[in-house]
Amino acid sequence: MPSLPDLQQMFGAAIEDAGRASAAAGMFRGDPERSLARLAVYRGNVYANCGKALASAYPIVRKIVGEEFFDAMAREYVRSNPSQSGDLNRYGERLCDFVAGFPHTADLPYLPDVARMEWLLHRAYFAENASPFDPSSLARVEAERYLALRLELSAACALLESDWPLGRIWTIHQDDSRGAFEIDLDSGPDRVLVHRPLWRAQVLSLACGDFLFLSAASRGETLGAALQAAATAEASFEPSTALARWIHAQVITSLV
Amino acid sequence: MGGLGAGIGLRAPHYAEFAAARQPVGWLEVHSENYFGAGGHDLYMLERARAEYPVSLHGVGLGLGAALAWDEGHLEQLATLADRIRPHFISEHLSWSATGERNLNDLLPLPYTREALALLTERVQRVQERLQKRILIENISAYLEFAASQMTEGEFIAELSGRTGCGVLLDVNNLYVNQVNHGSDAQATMRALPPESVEEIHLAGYFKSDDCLIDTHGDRVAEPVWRLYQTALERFGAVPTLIEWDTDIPPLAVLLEEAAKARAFMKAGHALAA
Repeated sequence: MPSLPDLQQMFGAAIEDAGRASAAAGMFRGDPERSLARLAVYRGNVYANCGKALASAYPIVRKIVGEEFFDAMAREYVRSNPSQSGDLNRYGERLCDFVAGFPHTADLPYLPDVARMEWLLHRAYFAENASPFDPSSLARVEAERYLALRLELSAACALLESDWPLGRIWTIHQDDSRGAFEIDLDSGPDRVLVHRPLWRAQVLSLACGDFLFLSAASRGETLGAALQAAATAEASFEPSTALARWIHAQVITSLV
Repeated sequence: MGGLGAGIGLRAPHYAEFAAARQPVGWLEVHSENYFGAGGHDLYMLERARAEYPVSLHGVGLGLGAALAWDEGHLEQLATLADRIRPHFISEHLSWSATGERNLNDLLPLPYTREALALLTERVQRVQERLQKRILIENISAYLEFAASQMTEGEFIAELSGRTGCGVLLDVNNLYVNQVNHGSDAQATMRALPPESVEEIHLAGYFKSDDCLIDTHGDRVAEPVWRLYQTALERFGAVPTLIEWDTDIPPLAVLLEEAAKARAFMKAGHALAA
């Protein structure tokens, strides 16, 4: 009698690959032909469960390529990128790399960055809730030390730079989006912030100064260095306005 | 009638109705993994619901029976959630889901062998030790039966419960699906389980394909399943009963109707016993 690990290995192989199912069919009671049909039910479930997880994490990619195409692409992805967790909300992180190398989407060069942005949105949805900035935390710090403090961003926040207009792509694909559906793909590079003000994860296009400021902050640089980086790149960057804005938006949650 | 009565699954399409008003259900159940995030809207809604109803955490991803894979991190996340929610029940399935290479993210059947029993005993003990709580184990629906099985499903579960002290979550729909799919005897499975071991019952709807019944949790509870449920109530008493519905989720009113029907059967069973 095969051991439990052997039985499960054969079962797993039969689910992954229909070509290996006949070797497994003999493990079960009843007609092997019927067992093959039943193994196909499991195969369908496994691909459908992972496909649903991908569809839920990547709604915009799905809208861009169409549902039928997306489902076929998801099958390819599931085959080559096995799930490693019992929590399907963690599945699909590498879809951006997959679409970058997928020949059938080569005519959509912005698709990998859209996928990258959607994964950040997906993670932001489940991220820890932001705690509002506590001004009293600065009371014991001498003013001349402020620039040496380090900024902490809310766990949902992420920054992404792209050659494509990601902010606009996100906006026009929202269900409550009104106005024109047009998009100028050659409008130049976009720098976006992914964040979650309350429950809904959002994308915001940033000016160069704000992007460099928040990027430096997210890398753990000091307030002084972050403001310096922003002001050097963008002459009109206003340090005190920026600091107040991002604290108010609960993007910056503390200075330590 | 003791206990929690009839409950339903708390699902995202019904969040707003639960936030707006108290609903006539005794308790709520959720899939644990959907609330593994550190924050966000789902967890917020679950915590709100927990303030008003007893909650059961029903895991679908731990994969207790996987001989080649065990994810201590997954258990840790369940423990974190349990600390936060203080659930009435924590349940898992009598199944496996991962090989060494991949997680199949489905509830796959086990051979009912002494080897599998030893593994399950060890895993259930590990989970109960980490959670500091007795868990419930659910019988699954299966489309295949292993030739290697040395005991019946009922004997296996009864033995597992005896060895670990875990309770049983009896899914009556799964009993029926298995009876149709491979001729297992639903009544015999119930008779094999000690009456006091069953602490929760699941009811759901299936989908009939050409070849077999598929456990979709996507329809009303079928008539033969209601009949089996009455037998279960006679044997196990009016244990808390959940209406499960996971695909094509209908309006809340439909779930409440199904729960009311379960409640009526519980009352009728109680009247008979009195």
